[in-house]
Amino acid sequence: MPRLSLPVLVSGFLLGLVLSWSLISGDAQGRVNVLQLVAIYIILPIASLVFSTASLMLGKSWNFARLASIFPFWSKEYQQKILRVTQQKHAKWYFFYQSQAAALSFSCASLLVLLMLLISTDVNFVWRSTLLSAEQLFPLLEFLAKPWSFWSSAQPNLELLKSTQDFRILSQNGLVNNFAGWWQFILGAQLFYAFLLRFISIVICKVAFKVINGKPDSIQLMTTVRTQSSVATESQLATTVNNIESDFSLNNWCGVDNKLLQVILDKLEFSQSDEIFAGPLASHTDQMIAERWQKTQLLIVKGWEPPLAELADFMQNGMGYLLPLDWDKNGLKQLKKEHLDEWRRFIFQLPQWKLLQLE
Amino acid sequence: MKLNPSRASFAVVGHPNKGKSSIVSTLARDDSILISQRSGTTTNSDHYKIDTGHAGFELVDTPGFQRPKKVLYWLKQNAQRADQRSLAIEKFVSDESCKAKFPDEVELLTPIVNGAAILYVVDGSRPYGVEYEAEMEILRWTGRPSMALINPIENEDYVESWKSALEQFFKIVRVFNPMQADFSKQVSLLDAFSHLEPNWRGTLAQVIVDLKNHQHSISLQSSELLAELLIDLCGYQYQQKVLSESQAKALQPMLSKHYNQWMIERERKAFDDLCQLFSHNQCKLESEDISLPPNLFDSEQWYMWGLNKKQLALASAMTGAVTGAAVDLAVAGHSFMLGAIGGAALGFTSAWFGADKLVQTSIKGLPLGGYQACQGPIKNKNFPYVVIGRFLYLFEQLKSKNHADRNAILMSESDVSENKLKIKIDKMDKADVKVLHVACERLVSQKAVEDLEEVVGKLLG
Repeated sequence: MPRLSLPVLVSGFLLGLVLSWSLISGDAQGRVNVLQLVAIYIILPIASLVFSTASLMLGKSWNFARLASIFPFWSKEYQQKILRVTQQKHAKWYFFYQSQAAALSFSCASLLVLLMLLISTDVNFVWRSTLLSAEQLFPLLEFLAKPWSFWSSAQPNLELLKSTQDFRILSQNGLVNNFAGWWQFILGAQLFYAFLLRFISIVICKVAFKVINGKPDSIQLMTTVRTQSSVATESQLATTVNNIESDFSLNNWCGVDNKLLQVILDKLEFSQSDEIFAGPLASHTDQMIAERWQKTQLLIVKGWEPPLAELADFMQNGMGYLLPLDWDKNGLKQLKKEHLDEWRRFIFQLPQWKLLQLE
Repeated sequence: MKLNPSRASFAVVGHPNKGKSSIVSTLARDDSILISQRSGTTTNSDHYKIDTGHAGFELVDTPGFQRPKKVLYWLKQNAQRADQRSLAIEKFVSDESCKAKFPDEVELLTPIVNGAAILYVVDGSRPYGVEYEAEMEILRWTGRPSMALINPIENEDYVESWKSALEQFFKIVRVFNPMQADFSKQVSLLDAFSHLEPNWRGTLAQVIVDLKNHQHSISLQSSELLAELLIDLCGYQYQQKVLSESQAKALQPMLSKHYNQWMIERERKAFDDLCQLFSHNQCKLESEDISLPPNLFDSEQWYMWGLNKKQLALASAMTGAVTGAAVDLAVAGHSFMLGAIGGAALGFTSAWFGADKLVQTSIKGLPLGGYQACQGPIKNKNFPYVVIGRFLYLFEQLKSKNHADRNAILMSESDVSENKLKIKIDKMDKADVKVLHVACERLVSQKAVEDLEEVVGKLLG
């Protein structure tokens, strides 16, 4: 919701103050023309509301606030602010909103002036017209007063209308009390046409701003039902060795084919001796035998696969060298650093094992 | 905890380090999900509820299989016939000794037992291995709807061999790279999910509609962000009131520093907002700050309330006219509007001729006039295009960046060169190009541009 513009509010207030004071203070006899008050408290608010609403719906939203904004005497800061607002998508509503607030401010000033003058001076409400008679005017005033029909003393009546008609050429012969009789009607007109309608339009503006600024169809992403897994802590890395110092039993855990196996053995300058079978490809019986194996092993695993708990369980009982390998269709290849680090972290937990790297 | 049967729920399972968390991150459009190259990062089944406004689904990021062979052995001991297999799985996840011996498998199988469908993830850049068969067999035993996703982490060398193996175990097999899959591929995958379980078709169809609407709304909101950024950067001026012209000039370095800082921070804020719009909340952007033209300093005289001479004269004329009009009204028009006319004339004349005296005048020590040192706004006609080019580059990067991709976005001078923007502008409709040029011209001339977001929206598509 944008903030109310102080200059626009003050302008509305001053306008209401000046206009109401100059009209309600009346002439030398304190006579105030009720028809002029009807013009500024009923016709002006309705006309301006209709115009500004129509302009909001159909055009560029011309209204008091937009008109005020184009006057050249505003300071640079304020002009920049207005320039920014004018370019925003809710500019039309912004100016409409400010105008409604200015109208409300106008009404406040008018009400203040009316009450002040009613208290501090004798305001004589009269009406003058060359063309209209009391009988012709009465239905219009009665219609205008319909919204506050529950407030009987604020309703116009024909007798009052007749008795307060003023002719400047004639001396006034009505009862003095009758001249004050219109103040409740005027107050009712101010409260309904100036206050209530503007208040409603401000509420509509607030709703419009909410709709305009509401984000359409945004995804509300995820609620973690359970706590997220914790971040792995830093752990130490084991060093690697490049050759095997003793005889070993070959444990081809990952099922490397014979051709590749021969390449590995050649690189290590060893000819194969014993072979044990464990891992995903081994039978249950072979696995049981391998788990009890006490000699040094050369355990060959797929280097790109992370070490599983299944392997860790097996290695708890044995000892030897772990050789993680990487290969593709063309043969052996260098193990990636992140994969090697994974194995180094793993072996660090198993001191009876060494991490072997082929040169 | 039984899952809501009407809500589509998928347990993402597989070997460790095969991109399960990446897939969850991309599909959930959330970059806060922990992704690590270290295995065993996911130790619990993490449930993510994705709400798209009118529908939703749930993804469960599970720990990888650790002892599949032993688990399958246990299951075989507990189910001799096919009709006993799913019961054996249920028994397995509730058995206390199994929880102690096989915590990872219990954790990953629990959501499946509770009703989630299976998304089994493998790495298509590495050769197929027989060791995977134990875990695929375990998943088959659950009897739940299942789909296999081949994630080509490094390349697609072994995708075909994986396909032929996986098709024997899974109803649907798809290749899905969570780092590169564009929006249409993500939608296509969600569409495939709906074939797993007929009860979820409606809700997943709505999820797809919601996601498409969301994409559209991101474009609209991005246009708004760009429009606001352009208005701010092209219109910003930093000013300070001082008593003399020499004081104004002395302030130039300070004003320039403040101005540049504000402009850079404003652009950064727009970039952050854009990242958040795409739900890339953790995204890092490595770019050079926007370069601003030199010589943006100016100083001018001011009078009361910061008005210049012309403004002061006009304001005084208006005030005089209003006061005079009040007098006219008070005398019921007998003055023939002379009050308003006279008031306006008096106000204008006194302000015009008395303005210079105001500069030297002060009330209770407060001066009524002086000088104003100003930095900005930028009048360089090329500047709006620089702003648009940088924003557009980031927009396109974010649009194609998946939430599993945690690399920083790099923005170099060549990435946001004028030529690149020109190529994009040239692809636009001629009428739209004209509107864009007029809008940029008006921006640097400090004139209002209405519907700017629509104008720049054409560039963002």
